Amino acid sequence: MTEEVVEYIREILRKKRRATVKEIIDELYSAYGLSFTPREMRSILRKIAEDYRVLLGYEEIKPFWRIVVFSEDLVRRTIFNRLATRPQTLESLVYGTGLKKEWLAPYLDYLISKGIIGFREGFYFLTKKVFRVQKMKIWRLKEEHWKWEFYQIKFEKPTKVPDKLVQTRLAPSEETDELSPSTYGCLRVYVYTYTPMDWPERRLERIMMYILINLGPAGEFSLQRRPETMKPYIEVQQAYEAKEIDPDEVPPDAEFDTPYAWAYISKEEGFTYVYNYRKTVFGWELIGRWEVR
Amino acid sequence: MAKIYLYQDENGEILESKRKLTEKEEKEYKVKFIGEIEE
Repeated sequence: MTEEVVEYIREILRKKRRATVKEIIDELYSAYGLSFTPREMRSILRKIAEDYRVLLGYEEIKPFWRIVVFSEDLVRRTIFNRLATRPQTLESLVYGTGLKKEWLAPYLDYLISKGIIGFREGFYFLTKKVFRVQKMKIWRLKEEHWKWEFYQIKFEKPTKVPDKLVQTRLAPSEETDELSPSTYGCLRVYVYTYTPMDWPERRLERIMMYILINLGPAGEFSLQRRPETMKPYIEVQQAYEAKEIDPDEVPPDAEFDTPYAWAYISKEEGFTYVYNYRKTVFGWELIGRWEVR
Repeated sequence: MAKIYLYQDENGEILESKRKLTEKEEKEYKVKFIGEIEE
């Protein structure tokens, strides 16, 4: 099962809100030319329902039952809209979403475990916890390369990087204004959100790919543009992180659920070119480039 | 591990049952057996 198929299923459900296994099989075939047996589709749906990428219900049609599949995005949106007005009981959320109690309750428990909603004295409420979701991709030289120490990414301001970069010694600390020596390229995409599940790694990866392919630094990051002697020593590392943060950490001018993208290219001369991108209705565009020393 | 029996009705909908239906029941409910899985 590829990630693509899961996205197609979610897309089908976004349009239909709910579907049976047969409807999903039919739609995948007619819209995407993909063919699945009922047994295969059933197993895919049960697998992706484990981490709530779709929601499953079981309708009884005696002496059988039938699986019904719901769009997780739409159900979540309905829950959020209702909770935005006031705290709700399970019964009122059942009424609002059209899901049965026994199908909805585990999903609500999942949202609670993610810190997105809370539950007190019989009522569910929005926690309004703020998350910073970010992905960083870093190009570095292995240290045995004779020029590795000439390169070091410098950020335009102190930046909170994923913990993994500290663990792998690519960054000296979680908040830093530079990466470790040997780093010559970096792409950072981040977003502030109340709902980190809306920003899975693959979504940030798509933004990165768009920027690399269509905008400024693609050539700079490309292996083809590096000197031959350097190529064997280049490695790419990446880190994705969805982290709950203090609301004060969100810059006053930052918009929620709007991704931001920056690229950095370190130069042998000891400075870093910083590229800033902005998402517009026409797609991503480069809005500025400057040097950081 | 329990067995689940999969059936398809005349509209192509997939139905599940915890027991295997008899031929008579299959005719009565207008379904055909398409396979079984263990869960």
